[in-house]
Formats: sequence, structure tokens, C-alpha cells
Amino acid sequence: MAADGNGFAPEMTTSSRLLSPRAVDALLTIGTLAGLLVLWYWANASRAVSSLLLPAPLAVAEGFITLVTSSFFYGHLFATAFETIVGFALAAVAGILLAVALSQSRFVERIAQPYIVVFQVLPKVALAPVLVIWLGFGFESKIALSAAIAFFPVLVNTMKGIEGVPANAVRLMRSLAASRRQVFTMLTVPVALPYIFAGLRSAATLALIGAVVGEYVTAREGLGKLLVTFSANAQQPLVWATTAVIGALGLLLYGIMILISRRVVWWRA
Amino acid sequence: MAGVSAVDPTVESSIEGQANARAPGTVPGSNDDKPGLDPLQRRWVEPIVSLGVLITFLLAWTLSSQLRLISPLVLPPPASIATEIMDVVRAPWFLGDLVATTTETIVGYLLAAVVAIFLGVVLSTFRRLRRIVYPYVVVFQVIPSVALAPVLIIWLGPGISSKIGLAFTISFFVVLVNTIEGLERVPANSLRLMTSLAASRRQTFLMLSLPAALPYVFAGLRTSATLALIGALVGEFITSTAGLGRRLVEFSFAMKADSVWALLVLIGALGMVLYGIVALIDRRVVWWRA
Repeated sequence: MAADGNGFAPEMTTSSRLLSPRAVDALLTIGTLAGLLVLWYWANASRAVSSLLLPAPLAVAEGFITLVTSSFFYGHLFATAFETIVGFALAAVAGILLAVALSQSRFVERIAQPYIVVFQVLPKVALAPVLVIWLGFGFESKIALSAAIAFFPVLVNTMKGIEGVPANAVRLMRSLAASRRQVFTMLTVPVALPYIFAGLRSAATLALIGAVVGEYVTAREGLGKLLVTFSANAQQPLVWATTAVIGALGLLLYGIMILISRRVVWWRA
Repeated sequence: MAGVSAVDPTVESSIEGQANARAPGTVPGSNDDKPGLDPLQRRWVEPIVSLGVLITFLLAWTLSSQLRLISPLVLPPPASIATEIMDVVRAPWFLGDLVATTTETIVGYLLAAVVAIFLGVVLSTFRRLRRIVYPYVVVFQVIPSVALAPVLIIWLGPGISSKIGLAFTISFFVVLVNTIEGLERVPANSLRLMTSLAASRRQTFLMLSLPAALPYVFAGLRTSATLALIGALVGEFITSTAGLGRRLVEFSFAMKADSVWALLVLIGALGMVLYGIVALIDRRVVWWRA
């Protein structure tokens, strides 16, 4: 993409055909999916793959319909979505606030740096069982895990963003007698926002991972719990359908984040 | 750190394939050192204060445990966690579990690294193919791979292979996307220069594209080192025959808070070691970045 922007990339320029090369590529993308579906169907029909390992596409579709029309599904979906969103919101607010607070003093920032690096690298999912001890089997422990996992990308990216403010621009604003507050709102925030949103985007995915992992360990409800239950009962079509739902939820959350970030950080596009 | 971050596409910044972390005009060199501490002070004062913060924290923790402000069931005092760590390390099961988790992580990680880098090179060589496949890569990167854990256990059994599978899946896409991104970002002018100097494709790849992409590839490799361990642990949470993750769940259901915290520290240390090794290799291979 970067090369295309320079207008030098060796694109095919001879195509004055029916479809633009872009449309052909899009069709091929869809075609790949269709091909995979056909292959999947054939693999099951010819018994090349056991339906225990991979149920037929139609069985999964049926499982999906069973799932979506069942009375219990929406409670579980809501639980996971709720845990994810609350965990994400907590992580976002705490991450941004802490980064802004730390960036007020270079000294404090440097003192905190080693701890941030260490905690960023630690596998936070290991906290899942501990959080269950602390906060119980309910949604609180999942929110906490979700927030703990999503927190560091926001913190680190916000700090990076604030660090990226050009010193010359700060000097210029100061020489124009800008107050600290003005420097912050008119310079630091706009410079840092693209970084912050990059952090928020990955935090959205991570928050969902936190919620699902929390539900794996122990939960009363949620898609993760549903998935483990189906899998223990060997209800393969439902396992696949639930996996697809979690994937779709992840895509949806990420999509929403992209939409918001395009609106807010419009100058990036 | 400030200098590194400019060429350091972490997952956070490269997840979507935009040069998010590098807003135009934020050249690291322009960040002049603020007045304040001179280098000598920096070298000594900061680590000492950092350490002081840690010691104060540990003291406050011990004190609040002794005053019974925190129940030992919730958070045991540091001293008893420390003794428990010694016990856990000496326990007969520990080595087996450690080896299981480490093997799962490393095998999954290495497989992911090799396959992802190879596929990344293939995809960026054949641009058409890349354009067709990339939507799926993006989708799969955003989908929470941990959701695949139960499916992988059905496929590969409750043993070590399903955890390798999960460690692989979780770390694969980060490396793939970073490899493609890195190869994509080779400056067009340099490519033109190489072409005009009659460099072969192979020469262009080895002398230009590969070195240009390596910082990105290694940024991906560093992130996925942490992710691979997460994959192994999550897999062990669900069902497994061995591993530190399984032991952790067991202890926590038995309400053995001391052992849980000891294991947490040890798992954290394992994560740090794995990450440290990759970071060291990174520094050796991509020496020009430091």
C-alpha cells in the first residue's frame, strides 16, 4: 500500500476490461471462501474428515440456528459482551489517566518504566484463577481479567504518544505564552490521539480474550462457559457455532473501534 | 527507550497495518533531553529510587498482612510466598510441569515464527495473492484465538499437542502481519535504486527488503513470545494432563493461596525469561536499531 501511494508500483495498467483489477481481487477473495466451503462440504460428504473433528457446514449452520433461537443464548452473549465492554472501559480510562499522570514528570516516568515493562510482559491470563478467588464466580472476576489484559496496551501507547510530542512545538507554544493546559489540549492531545486509538483498538480485542478466558476457568454464564460446556458434551456443531459467535463479537468490537477512531482521529485517514 | 520506539512497531501499533506508532514529524532525534538530571544522576538515582519503591511496597504489604488488613487467603504476605516458591521449586511435580509448559510455548512459538515469516515473504512477493488473502489475515488477527482452544483440544487431544496448537495460533498472526508490514515499508526509492543498479530479485531481497523488514519482524516476534505462553496457559486451563496452568487452577480451587501466588511468580518469571531471550536475539540481529 505504501508503494502504491507513490504511484510507482508496477500496477497492471493495461486493463480496460469489464472489471477493475480491484474488483477482480475482491471476487477472488470471496471465491477463496466459497472454495474453502466447498472443500469443507466435500471433505465431510466423502467422509475424508470425521464429523467429530469437523462437523459438516450444514450441521454447523443448523447448530448456529439452534443456538441463536435458544432461550439461553442471549443471556450468555450479553454476559460476555457486558464483561468485555466494562473491562475495556475501565482499562481505557485507567490506562489513559495513568499515562497522563506519569508523563507530568519525567522522573516519575523513568522510575515507573521498569515496572511497566515487567507487568506488560507478564502473562496476565495467569491471574484468572486468583481473580476468581478474590472476586468470586460472577462477572466481576471476568471484568477484572479483561481490564488487566487490556490495560497495558492503552497505557504504553498513550505514554508513547505523549512522548512523541515534538519538543520544538512545545517550545513554540510556550513562546506564544500558551498555558500548560493549552499546550496539553491543543498540542499533546491531538499528537497522542492516534497512538491512543491504536492502543484502544488492540485493547478491544484483548478485553474480549480476557472475558472468554475468565469464563473458561469458572463462570456462571458467558460464551466461554457455553463453549466449554458444549465441548465437554461433544456437541461439535454447537462448539463451532459458538466459536463463530465469539469471533463475530471480536470483529464487531474491533469494527466499532475502527469507526470511532476514524471519526475522532480523522486526520490519520 | 524513546529512540527505540520510533522504529519499534509493537502489536499495539501495527495491529491494523497502519504506521500508527509513527505519526509524521515525530523524529526521535528532535526530542531533546529535557533539563533536569545529568547522565550520572540518571544512572544512579533512578534505579535506586525504583528499587526503593519496590522495597516500600513490599514493606507496606508485609505490614498490612501482619495487621490483618489483608486476609492471607486473598493475598499471603511476601515472606510466605517466598518460602512457598522454594517449596514449589523443590516439589517433585514442578520440573515436569515446567518442562511441559515451556515445551508447549517454545514449540508453538517456533512453528508460528517459521511458518509466519515464510508465508509473509511469500505473500509480499506475490502482491496479487497478498491482496486476495489479506482480508482473511486481518479477520483472523482480530478474532480472539483463545476461542479456538476447545476446538483444538477436540482435534489434538488433551495432551501437549493441543497447547502447542493454541500457542501457535495465538502467536502466528502477529508475526505474519508484522512481516508483511515490514516488507511493505521498504522505501520505493531504494527499490528503484536497486533496480537501476541491476540488482537481481534475490539481491534486492537479501540486501534491502530483509534488513528493512527485520525490525518489524522482531517486534512481532517479541510480542508473540509473550502470547505463546498465554496460549499454552489458556490451553492448560481448559483440559490438560500436565503443565503450570493446570497446576495453578488446581491450587486455586483447593484455596492454597500461598502455592497459587508462588506459581504466579514463577510463571511470570518464565514469561520474563522467554521474552528476555527473544529481546536479546533481537538486539543481536537488529543491532542497527539500538
